Amino acid sequence: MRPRLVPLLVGLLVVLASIPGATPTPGSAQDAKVQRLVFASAGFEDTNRFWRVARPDHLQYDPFLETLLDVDPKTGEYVPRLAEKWSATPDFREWTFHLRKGVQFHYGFGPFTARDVVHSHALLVRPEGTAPQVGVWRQVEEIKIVNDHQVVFRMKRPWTTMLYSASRAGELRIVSKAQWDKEGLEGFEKRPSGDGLL
Amino acid sequence: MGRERGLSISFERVDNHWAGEKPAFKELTFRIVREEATRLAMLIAGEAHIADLPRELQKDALIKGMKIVSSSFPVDWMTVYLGGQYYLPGDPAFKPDVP
Repeated sequence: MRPRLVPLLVGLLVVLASIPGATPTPGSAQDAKVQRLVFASAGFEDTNRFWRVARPDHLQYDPFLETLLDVDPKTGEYVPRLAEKWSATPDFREWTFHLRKGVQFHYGFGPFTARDVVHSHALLVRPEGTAPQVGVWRQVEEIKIVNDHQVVFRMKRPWTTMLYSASRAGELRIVSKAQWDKEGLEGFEKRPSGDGLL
Repeated sequence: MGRERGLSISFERVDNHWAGEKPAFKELTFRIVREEATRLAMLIAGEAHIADLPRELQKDALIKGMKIVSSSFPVDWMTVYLGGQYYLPGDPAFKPDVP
């Protein structure tokens, strides 16, 4: 294990600069004076190809690529993000996600729909995929698009840890199919179209 | 979003984000700085607002009025691998009798 992974695994400890007259918490209103926040990072697997990147290094995607679910930092509960609701069949073979409406991709690539979920999953399970969860995502037998805002993952076998995998703890980053269709890997390498805050 | 491979990633805030969230800063830059002491120096010089620091250097930052913030991300797994794989032929630590 690379030594720098250890602090990331036990909780990313960062030291935050004090800004005079402000509470140094990123994102707080008091920080309004800081227009450009700089994070000096020890580094990571530096690529947009999220299917080749292990979870700790997904930190680089958190600003701009979303996931279906998030994890509540206080309780550890899975909470809605791009998916608003979800459910599993009693045998845990099928997982249904209801997707949020009115989410726009960056750079004008249009609204987020079920097709983007299928596309993002297809990227993750590409033959060159080496992210630790890739093997788990290859257990998906089929993703059914019920409509623009509903998908069903049918699994090869019962899968109880889907919510973990679909959350920010997993590695399924949602990116725009429309961008891929238009610009391919080249455009994706330059700047992937996601729907994050930045 | 722009990436300079091995150097930095820069982001700009999306206004009117669907989640109704708005970072207080307009831009964010991850600067990749391999050297630990350099990251500390940047932090102290005000060239960086946040830095990954190893525990040995954290106290130097604290003296300068910095603050430690822990990840907002809960730890849900940790692996300690105690395997017996020997890559060095003839390594005296290798005990063939140990299962």
